[in-house]
Amino acid sequence: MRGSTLTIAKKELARFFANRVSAVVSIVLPGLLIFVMWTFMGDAMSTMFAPDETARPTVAVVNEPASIAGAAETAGIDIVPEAALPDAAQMRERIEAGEVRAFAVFPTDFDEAVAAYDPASGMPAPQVELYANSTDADSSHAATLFTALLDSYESSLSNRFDINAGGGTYELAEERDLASTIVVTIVPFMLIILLFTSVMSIAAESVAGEKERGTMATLLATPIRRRDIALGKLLAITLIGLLVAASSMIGIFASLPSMFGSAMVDLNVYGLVEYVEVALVIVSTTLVVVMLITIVSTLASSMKEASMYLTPVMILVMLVAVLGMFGGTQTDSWYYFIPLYNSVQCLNGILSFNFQPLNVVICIVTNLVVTGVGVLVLQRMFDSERLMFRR
Amino acid sequence: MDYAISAKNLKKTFKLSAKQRKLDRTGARTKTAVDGLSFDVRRGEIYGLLGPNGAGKTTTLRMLAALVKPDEGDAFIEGVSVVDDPLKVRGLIGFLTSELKLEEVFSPDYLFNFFSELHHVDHAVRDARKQALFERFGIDRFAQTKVADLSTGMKQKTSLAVSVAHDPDVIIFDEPTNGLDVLTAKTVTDFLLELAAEGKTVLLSTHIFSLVEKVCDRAGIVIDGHLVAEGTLPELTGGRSLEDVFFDLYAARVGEAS
Repeated sequence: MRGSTLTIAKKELARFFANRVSAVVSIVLPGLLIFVMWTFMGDAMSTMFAPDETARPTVAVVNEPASIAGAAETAGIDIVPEAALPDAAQMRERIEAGEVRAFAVFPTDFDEAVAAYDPASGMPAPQVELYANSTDADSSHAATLFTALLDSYESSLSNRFDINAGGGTYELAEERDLASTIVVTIVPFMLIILLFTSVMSIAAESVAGEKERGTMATLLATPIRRRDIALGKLLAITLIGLLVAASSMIGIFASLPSMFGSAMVDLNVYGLVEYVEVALVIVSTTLVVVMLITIVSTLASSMKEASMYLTPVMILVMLVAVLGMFGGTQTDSWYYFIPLYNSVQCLNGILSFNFQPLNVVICIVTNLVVTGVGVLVLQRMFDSERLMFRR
Repeated sequence: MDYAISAKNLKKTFKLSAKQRKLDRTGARTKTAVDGLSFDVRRGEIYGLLGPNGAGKTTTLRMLAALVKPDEGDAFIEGVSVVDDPLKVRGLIGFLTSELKLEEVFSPDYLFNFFSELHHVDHAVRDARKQALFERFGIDRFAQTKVADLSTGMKQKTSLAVSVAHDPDVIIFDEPTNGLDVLTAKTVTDFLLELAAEGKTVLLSTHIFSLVEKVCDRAGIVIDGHLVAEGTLPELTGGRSLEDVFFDLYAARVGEAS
């Protein structure tokens, strides 16, 4: 009775979309939430770690040599003379106050000592001490600028050769190495959690809610097989689940650049193949999650009971997802027979270009088989008078 | 004789949970809700099952409507066994109880179409029936209104219309007037009489004596899962009030009603 299954599925979808606002919220919200949250986090992080570049940093200098004064002016650093180096606590305090960003101590007669120094003599070279607080963005910025200033001054004294002074790209690491490490650890975990929480309310509403409202009995009194009712409901919930998965996925990928700075994560490093594999794994994972939640909410006779049953299941799912998140990608095929864990592992593998065709296939097939068994169990449950008519 | 509904020695036992056992102060792990019930309903008559709450009326009707399976015995709707072919039985009957609710987000129009589709009713036939039934109950003005926004009476009328969307020959109503105000209750009883006049068979359960006296051609009295008396109203009462007869039967079966 294909027709009845479709009729039920259409009715379920019609009910879900009857309330436009709640439908849009449950589908779009996961993606939007991720996008807004991560974009905000990315912004907050970059402002937290970015120095104030508009202000000229001030460096307090003991025994300021004449040679540095002019160079500092062009490098954009203000120098204030300091009689003697204060102790560490005082320096921290003054950096905190923003009056001075760093402290430098030159040997007395620095210029003469540098001019007289012969590297071949084996004697220690004249030393400059630079004090800065690396946890303060402005202070470490000032220290960086000041070090660069000294370095360039040193080079100007005896320029024999340069390193990487041309305009070429000397970095050999591929861009995707950087992208994958970050994406990998978070995306699969986030996806499974979002999928679970969103599908949870929808499935509870569709099965336990319908029992609670007494509308399930009305359905059961019609001349259609109960397994077709189960199938129809599952079909509708799966479709909605896939929409939620797609929305979360879009949200995750759209927010990654701002989360980690667009220079680091360029999503073009993933090709069509990776995206198709990701999609296949996600679709099969959605089936498992939907089936699991639907079975649990069929055990319940009310929405309240359903959410009570689903909470420990959610904790378990989170645990499995977290385990899959850590410890790198497993290569042993046995791990890919464990539902949910295998999905997280597969997504890890695909996104970090550690592609294991056999294991991805095992993962997808396992998920499909588990879903198939789940569907049979669910249909048996719908045939059970005790589950369907319990009050 | 050819019966529209024929129950043969129906029996249904439920497992009791620990909590229920405590509540009932019984050590028994099972409760027999229906214990060897047999009766027949002739085509075109209105038959009432009368009994107190918990007598097993609802369970009996659920077995007849092929919603739950009997543990023992069988029942036949127009000759079709509820045990062997529950799907066909559900297609033959219209089933309505105060427990069967309609989803509140949908309109009467949508629900009528939905249930017609589940009953595989032809679209042209469906539209004609919908128009007739909606006019009959005055639902036509509210056909596109969400059930949630309908009055209780209008909801009940919608349930009535939807339950006979497939034009069944046998109608089973569990407590048809339960919880309804007098006006809506009258709509329901009028409709039952109309159905019988059309030649349909109606089986209803109730604990309201007046309903039996008003609409039923014959009635059976159910106490404790057993059919203790059966017949036309005059046969049952022998000139006394139905209420008195019932209490005598109850006292004989269970002891004085407390």
